[in-house]
Amino acid sequence: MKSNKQKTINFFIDQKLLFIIILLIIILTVKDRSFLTLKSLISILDHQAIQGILAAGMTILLISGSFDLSVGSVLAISGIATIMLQKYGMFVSVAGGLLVGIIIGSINGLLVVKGKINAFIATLGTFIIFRGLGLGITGGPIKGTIENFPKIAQGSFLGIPNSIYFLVIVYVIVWYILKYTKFGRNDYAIGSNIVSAKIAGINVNLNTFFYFVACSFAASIAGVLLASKVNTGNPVFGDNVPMLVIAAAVLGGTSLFGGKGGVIGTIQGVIILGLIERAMVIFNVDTNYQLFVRGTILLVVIITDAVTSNRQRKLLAIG
Amino acid sequence: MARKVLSILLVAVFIVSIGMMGIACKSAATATTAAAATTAAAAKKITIGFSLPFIEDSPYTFPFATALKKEAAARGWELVMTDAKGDVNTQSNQIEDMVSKGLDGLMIMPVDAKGIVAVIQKVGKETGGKLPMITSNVATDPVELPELKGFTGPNSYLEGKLMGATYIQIVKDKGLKSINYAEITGTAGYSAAIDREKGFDDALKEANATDMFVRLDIQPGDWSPDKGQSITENWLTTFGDKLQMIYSHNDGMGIGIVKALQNAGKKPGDILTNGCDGQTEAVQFVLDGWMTFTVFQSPAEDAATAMRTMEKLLKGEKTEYLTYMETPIIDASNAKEYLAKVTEIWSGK
Repeated sequence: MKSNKQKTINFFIDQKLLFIIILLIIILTVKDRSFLTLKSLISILDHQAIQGILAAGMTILLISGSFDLSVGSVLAISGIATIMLQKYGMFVSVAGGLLVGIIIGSINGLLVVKGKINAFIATLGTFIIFRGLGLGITGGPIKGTIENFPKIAQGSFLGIPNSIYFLVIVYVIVWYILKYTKFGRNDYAIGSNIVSAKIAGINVNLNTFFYFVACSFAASIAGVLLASKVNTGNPVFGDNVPMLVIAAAVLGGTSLFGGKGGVIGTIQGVIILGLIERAMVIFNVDTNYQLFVRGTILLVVIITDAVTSNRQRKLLAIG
Repeated sequence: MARKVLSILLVAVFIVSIGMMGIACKSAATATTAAAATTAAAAKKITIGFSLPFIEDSPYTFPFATALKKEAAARGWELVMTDAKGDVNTQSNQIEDMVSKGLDGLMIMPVDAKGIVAVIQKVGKETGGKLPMITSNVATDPVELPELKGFTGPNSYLEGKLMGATYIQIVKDKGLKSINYAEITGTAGYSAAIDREKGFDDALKEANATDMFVRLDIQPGDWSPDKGQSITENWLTTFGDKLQMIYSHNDGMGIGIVKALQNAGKKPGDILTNGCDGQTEAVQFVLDGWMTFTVFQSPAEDAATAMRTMEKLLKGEKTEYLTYMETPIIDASNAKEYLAKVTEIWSGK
């Protein structure tokens, strides 16, 4: 039976993300008193909303042991589709954008599941193809034309920016799926041990296909939101996105190797990344050092995950 | 056990990283607080924000940023700079963050001329129009916005036109009736690339030279020397002797083009090419005859023009909306004079 001391230590380590968040908030407030306002904290969530939604979708896929490098292109192309369809009205415009995510996700799913191509190559391929398609169709940024469209992302309700509502809704839905549905439980099973999952009767191919669709669908939600926020569609959106999004999920405890993680961790990872971005501005970090700081954090995250995952696997092998 | 150690290590590294941030932040901040404490009239330092679109992989924004810091220090201003890593969403967020930190003036080099409009309008509304904002180097689309006080920087469209006019003159001087050329553009979708292409095409139209210039191909070189080189190699294979001229949107790609020509055993002047920006290596190529010309676009002057305009705005002086910087042609006639000047500018001192 673990001692109380052991239990307390365990508790703090399990909550290490929350700990880091509080630590960061304290540090930022000390540096800049005006940071600790509701408006300021809300703006962090607002700014991270798009990345956050992407991360939620990516979490589902990561748990199953895959990942998706094409989310940057999905982000851009859904935005482009939405803007281009604006002449048919708001509903067609948004629906079109979301449909794009479902289509690309399906393509990714088919390539990996039926084509047996590994996720890295398959999604890198779709990333490039759809980026090129976006460029070819638009040749550059295109402007939105419906007057109320920007209000989707830029408006606020009860003093809270709309994008936060979208963020919360997506996270609640994904949390529910992962915790309470068979689809979600299969996700963990497939990610932990694909052979056991098959033996247990799980249709690995079908489920994996839908995880890819889910990831791209989330990306298209983010894409429509982004198009609304800046009221433009642009094929160059989403360049750096896959790395940051995966980093947020891994930071939150979702393993690149699959089988563990969840959106509660991911949202904390997203918030931490958001606080770090804010810190760069508040501390006025020399632009030359910003990349270094971000890179160091990412590296630590990935290494820690790799080592702890191996530990877990060894434990499972013994046990 | 190891897992616990690693978790603690993770937290420790975070603390260290944040500590590093504290060290990496302007040491002027600590010096200022000390000085301010001793000075009786501790007037709050003027804080100017500058939102950069990207800083890596860009030989232009690096010396630009260095010049900004120098200009700010000379005026005793505090300068906050952000790097949007080429993403307009990041840039929008960073602009909002800087404004909430408290600025006396804001300068923006947009990643995306159209996409940045939304956040400019938002900030304008939030600050009640009290915060002077200007765009630098890249203008918004539309160029004039009620929330902005102005734009300073090069006029990429006029640069394109100037380059077109220069080529037209060169071709006429050579007595050629027509010339086959290929065009290598900046990153597709970026305003400077769109403008330099359009300016060039309009120059041809206005001089009735559209029949004279036969475009064999146009490719995006993404401002990169590597792409400039590989695209040129492909063209040399595809077009062979048919290719007489390559119009490049910037020095970076131009340098790659020259490397490809050198590797292919061409001599200076066999195939006409150019650059734009006035980087040291490009000016040297002009002297050696590899490039017929480049355009002097000093990042230092660009930064200085922006700061000068901001200074006027802070003093409450009236300024023109558009302040274009001079971007003269550097060709064989003046390359020697420019060489020393550009060496100093681009080394970022």
